[in-house]
Amino acid sequence: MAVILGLTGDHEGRILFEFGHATALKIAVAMNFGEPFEELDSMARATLSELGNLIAGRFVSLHNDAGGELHISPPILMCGIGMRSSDQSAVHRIGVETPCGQVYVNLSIRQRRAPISLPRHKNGTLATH
Amino acid sequence: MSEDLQIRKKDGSPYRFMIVDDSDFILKSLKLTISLLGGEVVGESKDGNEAIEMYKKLRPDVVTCDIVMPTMSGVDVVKHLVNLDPDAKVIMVSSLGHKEMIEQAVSRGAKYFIVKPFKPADAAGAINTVVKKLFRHTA
Repeated sequence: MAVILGLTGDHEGRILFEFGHATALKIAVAMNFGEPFEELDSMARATLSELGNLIAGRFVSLHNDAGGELHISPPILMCGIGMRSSDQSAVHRIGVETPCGQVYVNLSIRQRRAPISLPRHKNGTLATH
Repeated sequence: MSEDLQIRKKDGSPYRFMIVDDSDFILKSLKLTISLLGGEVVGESKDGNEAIEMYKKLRPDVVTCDIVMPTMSGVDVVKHLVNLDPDAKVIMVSSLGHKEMIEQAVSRGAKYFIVKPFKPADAAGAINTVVKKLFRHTA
């Protein structure tokens, strides 16, 4: 399963957190102060989404305190087996071994390109050949 | 439950809280936090527009408000609430804890900023202090 958040601002892209079912359950239990979860119910899913929000929020805050400007979108949780992404942009994938199990962080981000400025006449219409 | 965190109005009634957050997990954590304070959650909303309408009806003593939400930013929610009620007491609760965001929220009228993640007992301690200050409690 995966939690994905969009990034916009001086850079654009997305950050995605991946973990297996067993790890997801352990994270939900740990974040809910030991409350047991036998399945990934709505509260467990909300907890995992919030985990993505917390980590991405920290990342964005550090970037912005260093003079950058990033914004995040609300998290989206995706569940499924054998998920494939068609994203062709460069991805940084980091595996993190946590007490709850392996979590992979996928970061796909690039500097935002300046908008293309087309030549215009004084009246604002596009200057075409 | 720590008795030290409990706080009541001067007439002995509990403070009335409204929670604005699109995460069920944070709603649950904040409800626990408010129970540690002996407060009453009178309303909860996951959406900024709904929260503004709810505030008009409920007039809670304190609002806790997230920032990243689907339809309206929490910073804009604060602005609307303070326009509606200049005496509105809004505490921001967000994972976005950078200086500029905190300054923006405070400039729109937020009274305090709690950076997520938080432990309910720690957040209750902070809210206890803020509520005492905002409502001019005397020792």
